[in-house]
Amino acid sequence: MYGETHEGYMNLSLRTKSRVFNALFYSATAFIFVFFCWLFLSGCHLTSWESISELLARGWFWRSLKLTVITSIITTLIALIIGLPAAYAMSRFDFRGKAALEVFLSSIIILPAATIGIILMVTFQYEPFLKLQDHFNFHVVHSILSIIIAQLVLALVFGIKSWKAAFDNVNFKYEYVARSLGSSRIRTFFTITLPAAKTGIIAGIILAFTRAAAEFGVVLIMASTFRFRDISHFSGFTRFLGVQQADILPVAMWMEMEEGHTEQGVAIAFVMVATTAIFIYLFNKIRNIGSVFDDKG
Amino acid sequence: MVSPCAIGVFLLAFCKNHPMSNFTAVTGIKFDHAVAGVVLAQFTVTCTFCILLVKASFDTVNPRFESVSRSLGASVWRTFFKVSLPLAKNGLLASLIIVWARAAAEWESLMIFVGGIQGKTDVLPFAVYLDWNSGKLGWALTSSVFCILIAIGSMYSVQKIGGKGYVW
Repeated sequence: MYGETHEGYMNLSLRTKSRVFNALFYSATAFIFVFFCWLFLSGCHLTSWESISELLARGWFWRSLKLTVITSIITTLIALIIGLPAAYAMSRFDFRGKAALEVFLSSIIILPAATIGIILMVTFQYEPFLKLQDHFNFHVVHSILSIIIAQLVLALVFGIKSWKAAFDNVNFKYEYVARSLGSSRIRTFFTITLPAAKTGIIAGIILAFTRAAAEFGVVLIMASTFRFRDISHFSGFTRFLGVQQADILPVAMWMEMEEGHTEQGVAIAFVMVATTAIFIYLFNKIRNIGSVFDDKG
Repeated sequence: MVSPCAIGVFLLAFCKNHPMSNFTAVTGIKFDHAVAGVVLAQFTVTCTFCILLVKASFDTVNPRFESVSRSLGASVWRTFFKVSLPLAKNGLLASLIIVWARAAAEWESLMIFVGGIQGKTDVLPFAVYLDWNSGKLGWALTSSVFCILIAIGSMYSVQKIGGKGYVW
């Protein structure tokens, strides 16, 4: 009799304890969720449909959008061309200083944008790069190229990290089998490794593109703004693409805020959040598909 | 992954609106152009980041251990503090370091939300930008070196601890 009640008491106290536990942990989750929903919804107060339609009617907004898309695509392509072989090397080969290289790569992610911007600035505005630019009579800083370079830094790091993870997930035994069957290294890479790592590589491309399109600080320092520049400063090619006197979206948003057009700045922020959300959704979707060869062992 | 400067804009709207402006009026805690704003911005930017990292380190803990501990009569709290936390310890420590370093590197949202006041709200990255804008390249570079030291030092310790190197 006594034991029964005691057990009942124990169960009750355990149950309340676990209820408190669950409640606390769920409420922390709910707090974060509500906080972010609130954060994004509060932006609605500061903007209106009129200012959004006004924004959509502006020429520079479409030019900025176009510029953002073009530079991000170019950046992603360059990151793919350089980063994919680098990621493969870091995944498969063992070389001295590999650990140091990995620490260096990850530390770039948590480096302040201002620091990266200043380092790039110093690199391009002092010897020997300045002499080289003088020689070709083309200055990188404050040109469209500088936007691409600025975006490239983080896109490259994020790309290499996710491509390396993708290659790590490919079982290297398949490569050995292909090699032992007489396939060349190049052929093995293109017919075995790349298809097996396909989903991871696409996920990395999306990540690099999103990161490139979201870059603000480095671009601001490297390229500053173009909107108030005289039209004669822009090359014929830029005018052909229709991206003259345009900034990439984050910089355009900052300009709007600085000028006091808060409503339009918030509207651009909404555009950016929406595009990022779409890309991250795609990223998660693709990553969940998984690859055929992802069994380890 | 949302651009931090977009977060800054939303934070601005967040603090201008009804509940937060009342909060400011009642408690006297100001967020724009104040240190509290720096904390709020850093929290917002690193929050989701932190959740992802910590989730990854808890994912490495086999839930079977927790079930075993529960079946042996330990309460949920005890299981959490005696089993889950120690098992995920290294991952948690590593993610804490990464999140701290990321918060220390936050600049873009601060620039829109808080604004830099020299000697008051200029965290290290902001000091870099302010010095750069006022033409003191030497000062900016010195602060940059400190930022780089912080980043490399924290990433090195993360690798020593053996946390996951992937940041998402």
